[in-house]
Amino acid sequence: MVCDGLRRTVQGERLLDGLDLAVGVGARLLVVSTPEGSASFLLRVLAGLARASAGVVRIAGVARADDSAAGWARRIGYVGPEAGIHPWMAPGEALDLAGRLAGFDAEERRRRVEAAAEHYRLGAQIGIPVRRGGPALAQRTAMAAATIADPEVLLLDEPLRSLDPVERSRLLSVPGQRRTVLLASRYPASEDGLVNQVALLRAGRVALHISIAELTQRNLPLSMRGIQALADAGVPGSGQTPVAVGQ
Amino acid sequence: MIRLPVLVGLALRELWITFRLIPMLVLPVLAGLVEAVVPPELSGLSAVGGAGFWFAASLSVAVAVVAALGAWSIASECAGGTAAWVVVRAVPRSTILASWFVALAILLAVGIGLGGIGAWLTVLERAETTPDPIPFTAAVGATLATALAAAALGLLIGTLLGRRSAALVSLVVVGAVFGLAVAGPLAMPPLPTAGLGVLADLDHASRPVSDAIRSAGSALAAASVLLVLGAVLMERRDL
Repeated sequence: MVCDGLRRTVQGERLLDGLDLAVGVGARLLVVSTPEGSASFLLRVLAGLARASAGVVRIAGVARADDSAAGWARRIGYVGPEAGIHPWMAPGEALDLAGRLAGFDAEERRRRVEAAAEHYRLGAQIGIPVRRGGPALAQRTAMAAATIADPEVLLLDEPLRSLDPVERSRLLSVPGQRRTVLLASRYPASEDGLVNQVALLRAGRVALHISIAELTQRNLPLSMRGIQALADAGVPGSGQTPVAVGQ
Repeated sequence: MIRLPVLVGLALRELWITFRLIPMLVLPVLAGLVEAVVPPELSGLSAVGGAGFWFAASLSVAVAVVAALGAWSIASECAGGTAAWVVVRAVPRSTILASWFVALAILLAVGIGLGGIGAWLTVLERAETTPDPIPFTAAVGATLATALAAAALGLLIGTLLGRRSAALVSLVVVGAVFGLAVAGPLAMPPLPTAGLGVLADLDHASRPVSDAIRSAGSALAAASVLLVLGAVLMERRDL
């Protein structure tokens, strides 16, 4: 995934200012930012929900413009802070709809819905409206819907905040060696163990992009303070060079 | 395009569950029945003319409400994240807008169709001899086309504003334009609103069928332009 020269100012705040970022296949990248909105906005640009005023996004070498059901619908999954599911919709219906929009036939949809319901523990609540199940059910459903097509790229913007930390970590540890995950978070410490790289966006640019192993080697915790200290110290890793996968 | 029917069904279901579907369907039907409760002295020169006028006047209110609810719906989809949920699944934003338009068009066609049948039954009850149904049918068809343009305008406004402002602006704009069409100033063919004017003044229309057809054509063209404009605006906004 390559972002090249992304720019965008929203209500006078420059969220992206010529942002360059390259993320290798299979990376699990934590994106944190000052101002806080930059990381979230970057993920929304990658998901196609917001527009950059300049710059290019390429995923697997392809510009983000493929509207076919078998294209980005299956290749990218996104979960935002809001579930975005109609409150009257039951998790089973939402998952079926996600499968329909991804172009799966009825049999394939049924198989995938059952698997997702089991993994995300929706079983007993699969038929009740998400409004009645509260935010936790809505967020589980959104996460299940985002992964139902087994996407290559998963964009997670402050997801599953209503769940307890252990369950949240279990659900966010989406398996798949070649799956690339970008996780935007305001609380880096809570993402420990879920990511293998971290990028700090500062004033709309990548100020730091290093592996978690490198952070650990310097005895720095995965916290905003630790990440910022490293960026202030001028550690190489400006985001121009992709961090190797598996670090 | 296989995703359009799925999204149309979703839009209709959203309207049904939020009770917005009821006024959208019932008001145009009731508009066709207004003539039945109007005293004969206010009923116009002929039974057809009277039914046409009261149907057109009542439809102005009904269609303004439909356009306002359409604006509210699309603005809610954008603000509430449900449009984003669909867009993330690689559905073009224009398809979302088109699905809402088709859903509104289905409701308007059913509502105005049933309303037209109701109005015609009133005509048959009041007329001494069976009148020619073709001018009335052509005028109702042209009015449906005008209503589709109003629905497209409501959706366009819904892509621009928040839901309350979008609904209010749509209600006022569509209500005012339709009111002017019924009153006369916007009733000249080939204006998109002329179909409503023909329906409101069937007693004095010299060429009701050809005027209705010309008006329907320009109303459908206006609806297309408004939808394309709405799609462009929707493409540009953040979800």
